[in-house]
Amino acid sequence: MRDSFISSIYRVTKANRNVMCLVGDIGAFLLRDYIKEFPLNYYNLGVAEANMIGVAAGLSMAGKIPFVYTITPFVTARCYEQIKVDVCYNRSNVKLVGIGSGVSYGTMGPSHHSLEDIAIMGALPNMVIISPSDPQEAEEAVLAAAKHIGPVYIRLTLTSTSLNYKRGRFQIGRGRIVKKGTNTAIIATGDMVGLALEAAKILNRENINCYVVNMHTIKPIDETLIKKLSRNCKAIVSIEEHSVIGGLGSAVSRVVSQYRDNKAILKIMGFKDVFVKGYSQDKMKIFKKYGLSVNHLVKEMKKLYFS
Amino acid sequence: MKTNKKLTQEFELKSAQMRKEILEMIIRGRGTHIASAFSIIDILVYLYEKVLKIDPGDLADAKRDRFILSKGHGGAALYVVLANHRFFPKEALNLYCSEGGILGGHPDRFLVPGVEVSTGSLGHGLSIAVGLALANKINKIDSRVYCLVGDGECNEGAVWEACMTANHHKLDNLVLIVDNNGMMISGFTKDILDPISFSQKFKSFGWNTTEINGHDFGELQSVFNKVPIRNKKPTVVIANTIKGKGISFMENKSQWHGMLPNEAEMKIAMEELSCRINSLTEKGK
Repeated sequence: MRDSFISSIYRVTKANRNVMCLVGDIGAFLLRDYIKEFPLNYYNLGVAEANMIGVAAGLSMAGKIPFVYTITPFVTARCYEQIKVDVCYNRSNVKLVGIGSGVSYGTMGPSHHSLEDIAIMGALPNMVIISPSDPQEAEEAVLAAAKHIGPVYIRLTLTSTSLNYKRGRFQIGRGRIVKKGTNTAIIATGDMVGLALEAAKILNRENINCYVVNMHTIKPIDETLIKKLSRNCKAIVSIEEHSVIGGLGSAVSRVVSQYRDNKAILKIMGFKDVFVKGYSQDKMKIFKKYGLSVNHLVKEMKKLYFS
Repeated sequence: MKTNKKLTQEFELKSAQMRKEILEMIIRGRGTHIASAFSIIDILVYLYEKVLKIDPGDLADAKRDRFILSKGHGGAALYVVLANHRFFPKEALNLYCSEGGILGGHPDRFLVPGVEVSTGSLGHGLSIAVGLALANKINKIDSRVYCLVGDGECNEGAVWEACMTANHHKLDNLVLIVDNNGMMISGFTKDILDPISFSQKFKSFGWNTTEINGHDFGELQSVFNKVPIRNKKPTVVIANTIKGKGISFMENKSQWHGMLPNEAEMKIAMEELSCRINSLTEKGK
């Protein structure tokens, strides 16, 4: 996803020279071609993230479209009040791009994890949150963010694999159906979409015909799609690489719990209000340890479906 | 050209009149921050009279100078100055801090014509000013960005992040004014978090540093005739001020950060301001 950001920021800057790339002392090597071609569009503002957000807001007030790129906790929680006041309250056309979201930095410990970023960004008026599920979608997200007028937060992981499905045009706020189903649905975001597809295949063998939805936009959430699923399905499981508090599951729950025609029971899967303990190069091992593997997902869906 | 003395008297009269308008407005709206507004009003009067090139009729002009009131709680002073410069009708002052009005305790750029940035939380304005100044450099626009912070506000670390950034990117189109009134909500700045020396701090951050009496129009004139100094460095004007300046019992008393005067105090305050206005009017004749 890192490469997707690099290639897409290059594309959007080429198309619109008001686009800028501000970084908090990361990515200089990967961005070297960008820096060479657009020296006035790139600024490394050092490890002073609160200031970087304010600078981005100021640039945007003069017509620039700054993308602020650094490791997720440092472009979200670290500078939260600047995002609230300078970006969201001032309706600045600033794009935040967090890299290594969730537990992608599996060996770095909780300081470098972000399992609360969707919750805190989602509570800010005017903020749009996009959580792409694969490299191609990360590029689509950057392109869409550049066109959208107003604050956007793009939540990138690290080493996602490409998903193979027929995808329509990317639209902010419109979830993508990766696999059609009949009686159940898994609503996933980010790297969890891949896991959801695998789980759906297993469930299929047991005659549980599962929708798999890639909910790439968490805010605004695709209410129409969720309502439709909740009318047609017996069970919905949401799964995310984020706390169960304030993330995708909460957004889905806000829709179905207030929807009269909802027929589905909902299970929210995610990290259960914990800091991750221990280290792994393989994120999947962390997922497994915290009850977020393909098998866990299959088990939860079966439990709901047969209950 | 007017003599300095004549000019000074004219500004002093304007300031005194605006102090009265601020006080009336705050009392009417049952707002706060009288003393904070009084410590910056002379600076604002001078900036909007003589320094800032902003056309109230063309607020979208990309080439306008920008003024950012980072200490948003001084908003009452800004509102009165903006109204006097016809950025919006003076009647708006009647609805300060009231339903249906556009003027709140902290300025909102979407509600108040002439307010460049919505502020209120401290330590934000300078970073935004840095972004604006940087954009002007990139766009080759030769206008200037002015930002006003409080000395208490300089407790905030983000101010110093922005300071480093402004110097690193050689933003000599940026002028910071520190309203150095020496006071915070609960007392003297030096007793709460001592800055020791702003002038030394800014110098060590690579800034052009100058210190003046922020209530003296002669000094304001001489410093703003010189700045910004175009030597690839940002400039700071440390304006030594008095919190509550202009009303004897409010000066240097921290409680007037948030308090409203009672009826008797209000009477004394109004008398003092009227007295000042009358004597300056006499002098001007």
